[in-house]
Parts: sequence; C-alpha cells; structure tokens
Amino acid sequence: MEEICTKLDEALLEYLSLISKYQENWQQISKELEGAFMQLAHTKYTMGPGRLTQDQYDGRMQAATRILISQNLGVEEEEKHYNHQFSLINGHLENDENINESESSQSIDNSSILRRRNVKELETKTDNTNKTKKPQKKQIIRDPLHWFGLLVPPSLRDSQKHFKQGLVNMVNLLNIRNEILEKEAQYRILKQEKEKFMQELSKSKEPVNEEKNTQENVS
Amino acid sequence: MTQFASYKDRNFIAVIGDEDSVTGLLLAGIGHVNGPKKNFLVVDQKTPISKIEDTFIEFTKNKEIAIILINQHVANDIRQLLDDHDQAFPTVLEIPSKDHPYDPEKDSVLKRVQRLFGE
Repeated sequence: MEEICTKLDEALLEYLSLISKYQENWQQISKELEGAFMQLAHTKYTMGPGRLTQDQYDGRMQAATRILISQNLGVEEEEKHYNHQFSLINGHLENDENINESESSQSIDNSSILRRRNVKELETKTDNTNKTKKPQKKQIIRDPLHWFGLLVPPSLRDSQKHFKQGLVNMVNLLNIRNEILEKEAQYRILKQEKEKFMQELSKSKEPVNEEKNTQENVS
Repeated sequence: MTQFASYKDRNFIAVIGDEDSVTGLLLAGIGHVNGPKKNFLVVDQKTPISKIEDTFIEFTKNKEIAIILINQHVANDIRQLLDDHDQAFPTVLEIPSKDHPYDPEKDSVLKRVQRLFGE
C-alpha cells in the first residue's frame, strides 16, 4: 500500500512540474511571437503596403525545416499513444554544412595541385570538382526572405529569427504535452490500483468486524 | 513496428492561420509545395468555413504531415472537427495570432488538468 502511495505521489509531483514547464514554454512562445509580429508590422511599414503578402510566396518552395519523429523506448505498451518525440531538422543548416565541407575539400585539392604544379592533374581535378559541384547546387534551398526582395529590411530578418525560435519552442511544447499525457495515464492507472487495493482491504476487514459484533451480542 | 515505419515519412509541419502567422512560419522554412498540394492555408475574413474544414481534413489525411499548427481563433470555427480528431498523428497545436494572444483558459491541456483534479 505504501509503495503505491509513494509511486502516486512521485507521479503527481512529476506531473505538476511538467505542467509548470508547459506554462513556462507557453510564455516563451508568446514572447517570441509577439516580437515576431511586431517586427513583421515594422517591415510592412518600411516596405509599404502590398509588399509582404501571400502573393509574394514562391510557388516552388521546399520545406527547409522539417520534423523527425522518434519513439521513446522502455515505455509500457498501454501508453504507446504518446511515447514519441519530435525534433526539428534544419535543411538550411545541413546544406550549408555540405557546401562548406565541399568548399574546404576543394581548397585542399587546389592547394595540393598547386604544390605538384602538374598541369594534367590540375585539369582532371577541376573536371571532377565541377562534376561534384553541379548536384550540390540543386540541393540549395532558397531562403524564404528573398521572396520579398534581395535587400530586405533588417526587421524582417529579426522577425524570421523570432519565428524560428518560436517554432523550436512549439516543438518543445509538443514534447512536453506528450510527456504530460503519458504521465496522466500513468497517474490514472496508479489511482485505479490504489482504489482496488482499498476495496480489497475494506472487504477483508468487514467479516472481522461482523465477527466482533456477534461476539459482543452474545456476551 | 510497422506503425513506427510510417512515422518516418511524416516530416512536414502544416499551418492554417491568418496571413501574418503563415508568412512568419513560412519564413521559418516550413512551407512546402508539391504540385497543387500546399502545406499551408491563409485564412481571412472572406475564407468560407467549408474551405478551412476541407483543408484541415486534407492535412489530417496527408501521411507526410507530422504537426498541424492552427491559429486559436481559426480553430474555434472548426472546434467540432478538432475535438473529433483523436489520432496521435498529425498532432494539432493551437497557436496564438497577432490579434488573438494565447489564452490559458482555452488551452486543452490545462482543461484536462482541471478535469483531473476536479473529479
């Protein structure tokens, strides 16, 4: 009985701390979005009306920020419904890294070629680098900022940063929400166990009490 | 495990909301267009509720979408559909907009907490 009670207390404490985390996260999201909308309004003011609308969206856009779903292991099957976790993958960052890596490898190649000063090798190497360059160019995803012009006001960049941070917080919030739902299910199961235990206890006590009552009546 | 395999294909975030919310989230890089299919819907005063409903249903059926972000005030217009959606994927999150800040009283999770302790 004590075991169930301590487990119940622990579950409740964790549940409450998750809720406070959830509320803190919401405050952060609200703050980020407030800043983002403010900067967006400022951009609209500086760029003039009709320059920051859905008409400027690029019809060929490809998602640069995506979601990866992973499943938490070691959780009971009954709670399977919420035992997944979201994480953001940034296509932009990955591509930038790829480009940087390829650029650095090219510079190493070039330097080695210069040292050798072999014209034939130089030609073949440059051919190879040109071949590898082409498919990588296709991978580059256009920054959505450029839909609205090449030289956009800094407020739009700030707004983008706020929205990106807001999105990270939203994904965190969803993970916390899943944890809350999981913990809630755990709490309910423990509560049911406790109630069952209490019922069994009261049933086992009842016949003893009845016996006592009959003994008192006889005396 | 077969269910888990299908999770891997879900990696887009869809959004239904006013122009500023959608523009902002597209700036963050979530926008994806594949032929006639888009993962966003801009809602204004002229947008009929049937279109919002159809788009929401389309997003829930799309097996590439992991999360649907929807403005809280737009969600209120299709509350019944949202309440009926009880699947784990895609996950729906109601977000605040410029004119409608976050209201904890309308938060579904906090409502659940109240219900749990109110019982």
